[in-house]
Amino acid sequence: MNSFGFEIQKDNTIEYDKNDLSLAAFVLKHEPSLYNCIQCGSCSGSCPASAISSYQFRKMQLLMRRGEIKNLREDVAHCLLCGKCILVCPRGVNTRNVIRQIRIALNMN
Amino acid sequence: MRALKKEVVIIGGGPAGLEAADSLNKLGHAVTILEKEERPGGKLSNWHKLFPDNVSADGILKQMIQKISGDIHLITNAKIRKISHEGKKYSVWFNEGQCIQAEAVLVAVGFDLFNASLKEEYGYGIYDNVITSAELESMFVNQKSLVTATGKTPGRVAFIHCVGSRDEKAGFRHCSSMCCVTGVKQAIEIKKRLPGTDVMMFYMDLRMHGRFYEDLYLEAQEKHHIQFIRGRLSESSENPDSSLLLKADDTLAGSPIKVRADMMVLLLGFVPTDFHKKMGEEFGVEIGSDGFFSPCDSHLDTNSAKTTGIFVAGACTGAKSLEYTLADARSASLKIHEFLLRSPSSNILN
Amino acid sequence: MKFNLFVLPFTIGLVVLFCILIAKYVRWFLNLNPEQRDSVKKNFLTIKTLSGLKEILLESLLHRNISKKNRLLGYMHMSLAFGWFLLIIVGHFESYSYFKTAMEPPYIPIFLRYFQQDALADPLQVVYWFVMDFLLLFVLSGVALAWYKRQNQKRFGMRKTTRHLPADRVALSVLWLIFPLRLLAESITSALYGGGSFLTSGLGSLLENNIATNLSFVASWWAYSISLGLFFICLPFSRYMHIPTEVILIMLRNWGATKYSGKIDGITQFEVHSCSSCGICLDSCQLMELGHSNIQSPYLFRNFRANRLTDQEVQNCLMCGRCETACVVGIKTNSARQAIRHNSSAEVNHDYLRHVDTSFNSSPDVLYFAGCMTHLTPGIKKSMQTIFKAAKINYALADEDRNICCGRPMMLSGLADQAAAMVNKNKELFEKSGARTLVTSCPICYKVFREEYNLDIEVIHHTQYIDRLMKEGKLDLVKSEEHVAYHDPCELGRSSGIYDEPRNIINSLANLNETPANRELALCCGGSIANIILTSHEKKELALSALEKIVPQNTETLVTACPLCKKTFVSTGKSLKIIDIAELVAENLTVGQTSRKFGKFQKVESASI
Repeated sequence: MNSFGFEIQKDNTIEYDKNDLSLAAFVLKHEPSLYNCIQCGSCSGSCPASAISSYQFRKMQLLMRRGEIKNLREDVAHCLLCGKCILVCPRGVNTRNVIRQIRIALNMN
Repeated sequence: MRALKKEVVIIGGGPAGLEAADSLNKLGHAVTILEKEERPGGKLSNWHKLFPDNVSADGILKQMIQKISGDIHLITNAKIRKISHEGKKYSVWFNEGQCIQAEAVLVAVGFDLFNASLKEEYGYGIYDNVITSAELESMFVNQKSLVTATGKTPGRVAFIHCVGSRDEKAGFRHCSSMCCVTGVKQAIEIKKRLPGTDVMMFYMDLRMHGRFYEDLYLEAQEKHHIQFIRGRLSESSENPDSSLLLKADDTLAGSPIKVRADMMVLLLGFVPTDFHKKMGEEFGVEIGSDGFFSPCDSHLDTNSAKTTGIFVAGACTGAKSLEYTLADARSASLKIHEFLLRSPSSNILN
Repeated sequence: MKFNLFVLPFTIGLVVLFCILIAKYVRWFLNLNPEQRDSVKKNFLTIKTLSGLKEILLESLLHRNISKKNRLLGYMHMSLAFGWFLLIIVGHFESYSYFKTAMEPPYIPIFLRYFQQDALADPLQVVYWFVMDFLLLFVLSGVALAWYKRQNQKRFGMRKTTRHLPADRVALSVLWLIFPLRLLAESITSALYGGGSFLTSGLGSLLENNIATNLSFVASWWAYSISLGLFFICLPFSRYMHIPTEVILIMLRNWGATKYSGKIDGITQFEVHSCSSCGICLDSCQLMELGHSNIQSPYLFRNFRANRLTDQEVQNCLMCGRCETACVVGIKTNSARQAIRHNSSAEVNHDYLRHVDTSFNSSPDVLYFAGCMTHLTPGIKKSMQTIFKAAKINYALADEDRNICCGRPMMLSGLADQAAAMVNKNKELFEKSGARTLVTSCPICYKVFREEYNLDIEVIHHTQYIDRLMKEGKLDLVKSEEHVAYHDPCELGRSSGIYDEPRNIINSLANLNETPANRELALCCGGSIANIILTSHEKKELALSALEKIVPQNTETLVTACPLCKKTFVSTGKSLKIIDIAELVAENLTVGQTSRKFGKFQKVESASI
């Protein structure tokens, strides 16, 4: 087969109906306070890991809830568990337990 | 005109109290306003221009104060001690043993502004260049030029939305609904005075819900090139030159953002006053989960407290713009009038 | 040979018990880490062994610590343990005096009244009978109290008592039966053959007419033996394992072998099996207030022993250490829990930390590490900077814009090995600074820097540092008339033993109103990072309840020394001035030492909802 030197670009759309939402369901079941998130970004703005890595709690959990879990394992492995995010969250989301539940779901613990 | 002359006491001489006093007076009642400060006007007296149309707050207030005449008595420096009632007569005790009797009491105590030092990570009271929206407005009122703590014109001013609003950790879940438009109005004012200053807004959601508020938003973008960053401020720190370093998540960009600013303005939320708690605990006026008064019906009767003879108006039942505060005060006046008419002991004068 | 078939249940039970105990203890001894084992070897033949034996007498037998909590509870435990011990010892002496040999099978002294029914010419026998009856009565009084306590724990100074597993309940029932059965057997023997003293002979004469028959005689000795045998077999599988294990733990502790490795090792096993589930610690647990009543240390240890741990017991704990203070056995509950949480296989990736620049553009004498939490309480950071400047210290900020967590939160979650990247990076930072002293405002960081980092430079909490600066006369302070209370943070007080320095500071700046919940008895603010389960509402509830208890009347200000405590208390909305000790110091510096009156701290006036 001829190689044309380019590939069909993966489109950017979140295929919500095709995505795997079971992981999000597991995490939300075990830490329902995540339902309360208003995407304000207080967590990732204060996060020491976010300042120096690609990790971002807000974005990670949002993507997870849309079923975009390709990078989840790598992302969640960056967390330092310091707990600043819990203190700044205006909705009282138990962010550290969200992390822990993701880790449990992905067999990382 | 068939009228009845009854005594009504209004607690609070802010916009709601003044407006209700005028209406009740026109309906034929004798009104006494008890104001805790030296002058009436409440928070309006510390306000520069009103959104969305930049009308002078001072002008409005003057018109309202002019209406205090005839059967409206204003008592200032009045600290409320106790309210008691015997039958249908209410006694409002204030200062050292002074008392006024009335057949209805209107509570129009307004609101407090959130104590910004509770949100310690923002540095209010710690860093010199962090001020509140009220302090900024007061600078406008007093024609003070906007300068940093070291006396320089700020190169960049950052407005922080939702300080003490929508924040369970600060103790207040509710949206104060007026801070968004206040911030945009103040940002425009800064740009008008200091066109060279960069102004940015850190917001979670811009709730520009009133008539013409969205126009103000557009003006901020179109004419003044004010930047809007969607992300709640996480924390700030002070640089050695006493400017500030702001840390937030630029949620729309999807990355954390660090911004240097010379000044930070905290848009303070509306919170209940100490008087709310006192009224709730001592006089049984119902308080909602947000700490503000709950009227007896949230749709059909927003001005009668569940305690007979006690009425509520203005921002003491939740954040309101001046426009809605005044409308609410007039509505309360009508409710009080109906109540006094129904009252069997009515002393009807012809 | 003196023998009867009824001794078999007892003898078999005893043999089984010893076999199991030896198997378990050998395994746990082998699981001691080299450091712990070296301590045993080094101290085995020293005075420490003697002091260990003394402690065993005082604690395992006399139960001195329990008596300090509650006299009645102490008596109950002492009568059971010491009484039983004496019954065995005196029984052996009595047996020796009759049979003149110490080589009798072990059941002889236990069932002595059966094997020596006749009265002897020896006048000592009457004395023995009296003593043995007296001891039996002593033990029986303990049994009666234990039974009564199950119904009325409040009389014993306990609001709550532990709920037990079925195996524990069987063992408990059997234990309660042993001594009444012994009484019965000896009384019937006395009725039929004479002998015994005031108790057994007294009861014997009551039983003489219809109960004391040959059949009941044999049956009662069988029942006594079976109850003993059953108890011995239940013991290693029930909470009564604490009886022999505590003795060994006391020795290990005296030999200095109880330093924790952070993993489940031999010491963890000895500690966990030394917990008797007595429940004395339960009342100290603040989570009880929230209705979490099955996750306390006794339940954690019990379920660990029974191999049926759930997430709740392991994770739902503030690790405030209050149960450790309350524990009469001295079990290191926090270290044991951390070992149980330890998970070396958990996957993390902190490689990105490698890119953090650790260079300094100054050479400070003192390095100030604010810590993650202090970045959210800049009042503390700013006060420390003011203090450094006032004392003219050459200092530098370690984590102003390269804020790396100290690693303790991760360690508390059981990921101690995974915290290595953070530890290494921070160590590199500290070493590169060239500073000789590392000051931190966060007790969480302080503890981990001191205990896990093995740093060559001095690690000091800001309370200690300020106290030192004041003693050196480097701070020019004025005393105010303010009445303040001081809250001991768990990680600084109970966990690191720093109680006096903050008090020295406060006493020279304000009037200190001590609260009953102070020092070792201090409450947790509720914000603990060790607990990953609690909701934000529950934490707030804990904080409000703690504030109720720790703020005395006529106190305007609550001073603490931990950013997390401060943040947690402030977010309750309680109208009280809550500040860190560094802020109190900065506020009280004379104008000459600070350019402005620092901090426009406002009294919290907003209504709490």
